[in-house]
Amino acid sequence: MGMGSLPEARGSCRRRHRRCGGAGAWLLLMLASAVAAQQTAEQGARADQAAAPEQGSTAASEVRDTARGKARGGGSAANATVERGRYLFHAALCGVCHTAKGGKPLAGGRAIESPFGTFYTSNITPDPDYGIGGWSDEDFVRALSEGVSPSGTSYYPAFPYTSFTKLTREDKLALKAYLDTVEPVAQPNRPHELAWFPAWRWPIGIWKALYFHPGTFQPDPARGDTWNRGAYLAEAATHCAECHSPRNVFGAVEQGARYSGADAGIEGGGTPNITPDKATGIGTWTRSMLAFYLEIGMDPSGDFAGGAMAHVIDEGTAKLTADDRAAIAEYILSLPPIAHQQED
Amino acid sequence: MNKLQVIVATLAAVGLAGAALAEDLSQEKVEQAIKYRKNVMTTMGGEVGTAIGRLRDGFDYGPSLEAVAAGLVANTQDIPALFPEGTDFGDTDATAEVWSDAQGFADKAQQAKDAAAAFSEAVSSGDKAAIMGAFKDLGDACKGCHEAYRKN
Repeated sequence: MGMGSLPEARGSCRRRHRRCGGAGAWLLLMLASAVAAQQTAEQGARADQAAAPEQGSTAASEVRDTARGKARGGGSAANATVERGRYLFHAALCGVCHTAKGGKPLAGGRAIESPFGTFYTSNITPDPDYGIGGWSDEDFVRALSEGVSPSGTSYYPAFPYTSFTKLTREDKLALKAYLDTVEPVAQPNRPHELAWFPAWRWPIGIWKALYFHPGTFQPDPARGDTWNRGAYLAEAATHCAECHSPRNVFGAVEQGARYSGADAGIEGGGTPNITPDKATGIGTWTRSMLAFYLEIGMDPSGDFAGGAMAHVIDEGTAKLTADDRAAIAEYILSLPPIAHQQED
Repeated sequence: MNKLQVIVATLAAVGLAGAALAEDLSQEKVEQAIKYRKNVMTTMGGEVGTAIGRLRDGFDYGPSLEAVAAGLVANTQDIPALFPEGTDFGDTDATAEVWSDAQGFADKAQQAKDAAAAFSEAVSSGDKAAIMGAFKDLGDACKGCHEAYRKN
């Protein structure tokens, strides 16, 4: 056997192992369905709706035109909303995941690796047939707030509505107003490549009942404005914890270990512990070091970010104001330190 | 088993052992090459970190900015050479594209080399704004390459 075949062999072995974990998780979820019978029925109904065809393109483009009219024709207040939306779009890192490598902006198709298989992100351009051009404001708000599509299908939590639910309604609408202005791309969504068990959508309802806590961000009155701004940005928009936290067998973030790093990031590799633990996290970083990292991507050792984090910086945090980066840094470095050595 | 069979079997066994030995040796060499590459990369990180200490944080002791810039020029001379064929497996964060997209990787490496040379020139000129601009370009070159060819 040549050396060249070794990496592949190891890779498939790891994938197999992960899928096994995923199978166990999904079977357990099915057992849990006996307990959560009510949600099961409700989700079954939603799954049925999902099979129904999407809205016709004529109606869809009418809705889009209305939305665009609102954004463009409404004067400076509407422009201000679009600009606010553009800023939030960067803060929420939408472009990082919804644009494929070498693909058209926001037309989707980027692979999100997970223990359950590979998810492909969706087209969020205002194309009426393949994008979200046919969505009403309420459809968009509901997708971010509740993790459901306009036809009532639950989204897999690979789409981090678990974080976006925390955005204010005003900010969700601003995001929609901005997305209405981007170039529509007629590109169909690529189906997810999942193992058979997570390919069923109905258990997502049970998953949500167990792990999803809808609702907007609640500021902590005991903390200052800067901390609260940083907390809002990190928790609701930049959703750092979605990648930087370990997940349980059901794919839900382990609440007691938030921000302490993960084995399985969206590109297959691990993500580092970003709690301020001195030995295993970023406890030796100052706020200005973290803010500088989020601006240009250089860590205190002089190393530059790569992979998905380089995208996060280029497309996201580098485009925020210096005050907002400082606020995020203050919040992240105020987290409880967790000792967790994470290979990245 | 006749004599010929014994000879053939013996030769085969010796051959297999030899192949295994050669593989072990080359595996050791691969690990050394990866470690060597990481040392060069870490050196560059140290140089970049040192440069920002002088440029942004105002430290005026330790190595001169000129010396640091010269180091960066030296370390970026031939980055692709640090990634020989076969060093894709082991304790490395390099992506498969380093080898499958060798031309793209070479282009990024060239950008880093050019950026280091420009930074060194800016440092010689003494123009603070030019130095900061060139430093930012160098950082973008590092990040641009890591984005495409390193796992994180």
